[in-house]
Amino acid sequence: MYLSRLKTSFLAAVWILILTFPLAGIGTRETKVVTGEESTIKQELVLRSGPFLLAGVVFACGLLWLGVKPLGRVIHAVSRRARNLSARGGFMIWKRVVLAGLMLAVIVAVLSMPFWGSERAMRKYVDLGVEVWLYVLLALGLNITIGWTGLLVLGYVAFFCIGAYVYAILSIQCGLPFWPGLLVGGLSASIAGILLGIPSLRLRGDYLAIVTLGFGETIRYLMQNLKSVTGGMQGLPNQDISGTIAVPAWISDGPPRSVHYYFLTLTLVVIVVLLLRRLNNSRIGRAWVAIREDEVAAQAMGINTFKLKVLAFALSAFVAGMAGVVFAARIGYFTPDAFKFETSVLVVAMVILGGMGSIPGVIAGAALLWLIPWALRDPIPRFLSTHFPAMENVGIEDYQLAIFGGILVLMMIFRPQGLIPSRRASYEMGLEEEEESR
Amino acid sequence: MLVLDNIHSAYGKIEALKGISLEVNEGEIVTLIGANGAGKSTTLMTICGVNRVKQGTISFKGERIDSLPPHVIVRKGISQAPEGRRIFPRLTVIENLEMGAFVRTDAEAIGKDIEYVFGLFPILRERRQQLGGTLSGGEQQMLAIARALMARPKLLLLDEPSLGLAPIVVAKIFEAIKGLNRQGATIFLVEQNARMALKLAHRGYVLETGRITMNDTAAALLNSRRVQEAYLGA
Ligand SMILES: Nc1ncnc2c1ncn2[C@@H]1O[C@H](COP(=O)(O)OP(=O)(O)OP(=O)(O)O)[C@@H](O)[C@H]1O
Ligand SMILES: [Mg+2]
Repeated sequence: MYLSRLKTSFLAAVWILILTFPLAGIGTRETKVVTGEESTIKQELVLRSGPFLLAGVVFACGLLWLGVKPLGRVIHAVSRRARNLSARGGFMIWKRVVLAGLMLAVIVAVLSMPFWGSERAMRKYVDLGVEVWLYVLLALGLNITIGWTGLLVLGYVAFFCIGAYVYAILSIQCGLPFWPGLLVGGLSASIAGILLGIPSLRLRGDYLAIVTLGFGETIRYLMQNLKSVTGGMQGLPNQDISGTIAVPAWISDGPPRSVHYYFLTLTLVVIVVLLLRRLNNSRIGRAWVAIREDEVAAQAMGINTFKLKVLAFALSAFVAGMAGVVFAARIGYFTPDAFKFETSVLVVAMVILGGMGSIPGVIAGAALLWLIPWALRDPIPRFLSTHFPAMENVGIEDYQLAIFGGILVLMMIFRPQGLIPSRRASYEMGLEEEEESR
Repeated sequence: MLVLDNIHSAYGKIEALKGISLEVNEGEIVTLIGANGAGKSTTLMTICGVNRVKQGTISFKGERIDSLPPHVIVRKGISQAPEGRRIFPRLTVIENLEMGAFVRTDAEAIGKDIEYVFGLFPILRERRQQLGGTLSGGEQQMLAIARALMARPKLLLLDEPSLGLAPIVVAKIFEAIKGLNRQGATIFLVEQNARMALKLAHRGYVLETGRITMNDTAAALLNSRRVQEAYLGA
């Protein structure tokens, strides 16, 4: 068991090394060589330490996990003892108190975050927060299809795109205000979802994935080519099209724009979470799970599987459409390039790594997968270059993507069921043991 | 109650049912026996509407059901415990049973029926909060039957309830089937275990590569040389 963990971490490290070395392991150094009158620039190849460092980190993480697992056992044993000792379940109460305290801390932090510093200073972080909430919305929406109903949708960004364009165009051309726009954007995405779903939901797994992938790309090209309405690659709005995208009335005046968007997106997240929770415990939610588990058996239970799958599609698209409207209103100008395939993949990764089907898991997954690349892009390189000038030749910036990918792979290896798995996910992953002690 | 008339059904080009006709009357236990690949499961899936009928008619209580989708057929009162159990592995026992009652809305009666199936299979009561996938094979089979009962079917279709179970568990399940029938349930039973099925049933059909080749009372089939040689290993 431990040996295999050791082996796994070692293999992961070697694998990371193999992957990153060709990309970032060898760099060039240019030195000016002055010989007498003339100076030549001599280029030499240098070995960069980055990939090795990365592999080391990967290995260390693996080992750390080795340490964490037995520790978890000890905690379990102690907690079981404690539970037995306090006949009235005193330990459980403590666990509850700690959990509630943590929750409260998170809620307070999330609510007060925009006010930690002056608006100027905080702006960057508040904007980051808005992005996180937008991705949380997307991940929550996609969770309905992938996590609950078991439909692999690979072109999810298309619905986000439709919401954004429908709102931007109607707002510019007809002066559609924000709040009705939110509904219209969501509904348009929803209708697109239904239109896509009706022919393609009769297909199984892999085919559905491919069809939705194609749909995502088609919508993007459509926006590119419908130049007269969407401005094509010039984006919306542009010189030819007068008018601006309307922002919510209460936001347009007054300076703290990003704070307003922060709370707008946060509110949407809260509403969607509340609705999804209701849904998850309803007949519909149960039926979705049954479809995911065994579609034929679900049919035999009298579930109209086709209708319910279309419904899952429509709802999931609605959430993405709303997110698109907020995106358009906030950013004010965008091109079809904002809706690339990578975004769809990222959201899929958020759902899977967060914990398919689990609402807290999906939120955590979205936040983490948006914050990790950001951290690799901005604060970490800055921190390193100011505090460890010697790290200069490591060139962290060169392989953010490799590091990000490595982190994703590690998460998949060490936590295949997701960050915060849903209660149901644990069964196949052989976690019943942890399950029962929960 | 259920009448199949000249039913053809196919998977792509492979014709699995080549014109079968059979009949199940109210209050009966009727069994369908046959070798592997004869088309027994296909017959049940076709009755349920999961497989499409290519030709022929199926009627239930005098009403044509052969072109209805499965979820409507369940509402008419036919439910199936499919081959290989096919319970929902990540739903608990209770949730599986509730899924079985999906078409019903009478919450109170559903609660009573859950108690009733727990009475039939007491082990399920003990395991009520366990995930379906973690039950033993026999427990899963009991759950599959119990789940089919939760729809309060007028006609219960059972596909090889004895598959892979110890004789003592099989006996228990057959006992339960008999009990159900005594209380008025009509049962169409597909079985490999021909001897037990014929002992339990009133009438039987023999299916060979998509065709019904024999059709008689269960007792007559038990005594028939052909059946004995082919299915009873005598
Ligand atoms: N999904 C499918 N696609 C293609 N062919 C199928 C499919 N399901 C069944 N068949 C074929 O149809 C025929 C009948 O299969 P069926 O499952 O009805 O047999 P069965 O009598 O239930 O057998 P068993 O006793 O082994 O369960 C077989 O030849 C089988 O290979
Ligand atoms: Mg079969």
